[in-house]
Amino acid sequence: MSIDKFRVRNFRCLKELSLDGLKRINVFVGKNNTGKTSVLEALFFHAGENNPTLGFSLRGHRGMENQFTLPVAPIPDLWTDLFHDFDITSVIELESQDTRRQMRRSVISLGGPGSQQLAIPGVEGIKNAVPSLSVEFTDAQGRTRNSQLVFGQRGMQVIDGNGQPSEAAIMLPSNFRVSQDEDATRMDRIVREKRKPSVMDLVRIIEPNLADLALGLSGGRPTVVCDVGLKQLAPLPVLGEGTHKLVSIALAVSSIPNGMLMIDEIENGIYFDLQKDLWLKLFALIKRENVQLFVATHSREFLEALELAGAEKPEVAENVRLIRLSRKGKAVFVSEYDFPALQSALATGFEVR
Amino acid sequence: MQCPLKEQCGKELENRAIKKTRLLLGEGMDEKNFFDAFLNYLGREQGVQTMHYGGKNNRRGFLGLLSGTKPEFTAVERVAVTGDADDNYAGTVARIRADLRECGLPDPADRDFIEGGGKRVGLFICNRQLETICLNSLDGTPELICIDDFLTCVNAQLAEQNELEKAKCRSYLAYKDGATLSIGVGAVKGYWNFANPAFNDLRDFLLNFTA
Repeated sequence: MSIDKFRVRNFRCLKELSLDGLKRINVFVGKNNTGKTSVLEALFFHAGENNPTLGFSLRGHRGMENQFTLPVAPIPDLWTDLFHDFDITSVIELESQDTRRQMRRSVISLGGPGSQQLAIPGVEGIKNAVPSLSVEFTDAQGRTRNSQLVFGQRGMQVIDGNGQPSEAAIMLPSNFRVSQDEDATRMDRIVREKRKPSVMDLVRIIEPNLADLALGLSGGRPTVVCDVGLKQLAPLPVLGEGTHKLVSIALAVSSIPNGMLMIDEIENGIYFDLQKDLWLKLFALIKRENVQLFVATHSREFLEALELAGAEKPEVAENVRLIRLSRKGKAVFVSEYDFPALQSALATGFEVR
Repeated sequence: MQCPLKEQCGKELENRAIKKTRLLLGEGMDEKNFFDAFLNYLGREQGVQTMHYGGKNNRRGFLGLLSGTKPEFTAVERVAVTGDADDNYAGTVARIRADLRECGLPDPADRDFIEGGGKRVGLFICNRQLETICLNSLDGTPELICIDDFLTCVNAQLAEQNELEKAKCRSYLAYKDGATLSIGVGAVKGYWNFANPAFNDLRDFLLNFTA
């Protein structure tokens, strides 16, 4: 699925926001607290279709507690931060239009129709229960499915829905360090599908000595290991942050063909002089896998590298959308730019970050 | 971007964001300085932000940049686009009008204004270059007669100077203080007589824009 329009209502700091003309590469810029991360999260939640557990993923991305075991103390505010102005009586609406003009819609609410709020053992009264998170998803064919995440006597349950990690989207949050298990799971699939070369091609930008990637064990757990010319294959986590980051990005892209990848603060850990090549190789990879990319950045160098990549390869330029978010009071404004506008901003000093 | 004059330092920051509701666009930093000086001379600088679009190859991108910038551009009431015709007046006018249309803006004829979408947009194309107008203002002066003689002599002896108007302007400005070579900085320093009839069309355009 590749979308060209996206609309958000009542999600986090976004009361109402519409994006038009989305491309294969979509770069979000703007000052702090303008909603860049929130837009990435909204896209991630929406791409996951009827999977309310993604709410937990978002908590984890933000560094909040996302592991709960029962019995737990009542957590009435578990989901409040998802809703605009913490208004849990409002309804979050996420709507996309793909390049074939097909619409998809997610409606997220607390205690929605058919909600099965269950009391927590040992806690009296339904009012103390964690409200269920309801996700109603309408797909491109107009079929609607409703799923709920509830806390019950048997722990956290997904009712009528999909509780598995999304296969349509991956979000790599700011300063992400993808876990050993996640990288290994994705690597396993890449190895079995014989798609290592495209992953290695991207990683060689930063680690030209990379001869091979494989699956190994570290501490008894599966891990990605790398042949970078040392005496032994090195576990990925012990290599430099940039190398680890690029492997994780390459594995993520290759794990979600036809899906979406969101990367917050993509520039972290990548040496400035390599960033043009990163754009060129990353574009080749996402094009091959038909992945749509949404990234946020504060870096002028990264935008300059994108401009250089687009100037070198017109196909990159044709597939770039720059989106600046700005805030006045509580309202968030969207400025949307094509590649010539990005070039002009960099040439004239007009500030778009 | 260079900051050409001490008194102009900080002016280049005007290109960083839309701050005012009337935008006057020049091709480059030199034109921006020139228009700043002309507006000052006319006493019409209040409420006008002069900007430059980084050369004709960046013009379409800059117009897209401005028109895409929310909410600032929504508040903009007037936009004046200026440019040099060089050797192709009709083609330049057609290209700029197409750029304006592509960015969802009204596309006036040269030296005209039209309104649309809540904005009043004007277009001023210099016959050949802004330097041409400046040189016209020197017609008949001893300085220009000498400069013409000098460049005619040089052209006869050496390879022909391709950008003769620019060379003449720079020769004049070099004569004025030896350190100034750009028409914009020359304008800020008062080396062009804006009261000269050669500037009438441009003056009328700026007065119309700022009325």
